[in-house]
Amino acid sequence: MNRVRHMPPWPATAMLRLIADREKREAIAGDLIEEFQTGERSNLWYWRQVMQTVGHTGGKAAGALLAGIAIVAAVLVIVTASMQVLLPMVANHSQPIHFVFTFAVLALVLAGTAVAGYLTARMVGHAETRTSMLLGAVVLLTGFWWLRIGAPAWFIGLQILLTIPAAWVGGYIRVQQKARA
Amino acid sequence: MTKGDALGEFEHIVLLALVRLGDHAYGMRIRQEIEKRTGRDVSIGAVYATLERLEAKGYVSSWTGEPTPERGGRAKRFFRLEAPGLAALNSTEELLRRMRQGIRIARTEP
Repeated sequence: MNRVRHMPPWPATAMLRLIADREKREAIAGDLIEEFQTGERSNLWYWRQVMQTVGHTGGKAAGALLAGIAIVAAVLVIVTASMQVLLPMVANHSQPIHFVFTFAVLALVLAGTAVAGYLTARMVGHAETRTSMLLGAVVLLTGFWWLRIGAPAWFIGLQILLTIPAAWVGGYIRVQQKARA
Repeated sequence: MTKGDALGEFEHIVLLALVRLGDHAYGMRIRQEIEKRTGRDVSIGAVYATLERLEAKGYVSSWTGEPTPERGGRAKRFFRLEAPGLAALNSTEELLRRMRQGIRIARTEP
């Protein structure tokens, strides 16, 4: 006699999609479905396993993102403090000097974002470029507002245009480094 | 033995489960083996997180098997203990043996 297989709750299985690494996601989903069907496990057990698994993976990614944000914030604090000191010195100089100064500030912040992207990718350990781009998006939405005060339009435009690519570069460097290892 | 070679408690347990299961070690079996022998409620996520950490250290290796219908067409990811993992396991066992040597641990009543 064929035994009717009971299926695990699909919303719980769908939640496993939150795990970025496809290979890991497939292996975990397969393990849970196999145990659910052969081990007579309850829906509650299945949900608990999925939530704990997503928590483990999501917790690691959130920690990596927070670390990345902390690095960018540190760079911003250093840049802002330096600007307080250096701005009065260039205030009476010509426009080209001003331009070089503003450009240097932008380059420094973007370099800091790339470093943060690299370290975030290193911490998270998988889906490196995607995670570093996510960091770039978070930084873009939350991090740069104080540097925009009084900044020229080209500065703001380049910030919007280059923040996510800068973070991506960090993630890409990590991917290349991992491939060589 | 350097600090980096030392196994955490759960890493130690997972490696012992791999030794027990041999060629049949994959996520679900490892989780069940640990649950059966320790009586702990273990999540599959914790098992995979530990296995990935051990893989990054070179203590275990993994490969993907064939997809099977009872898993909804998903493949198993098998894990195997490697020589550095065996060395770390032996070092940890030896370290615990040395720490236990010459002392009697009083049994507490539940």
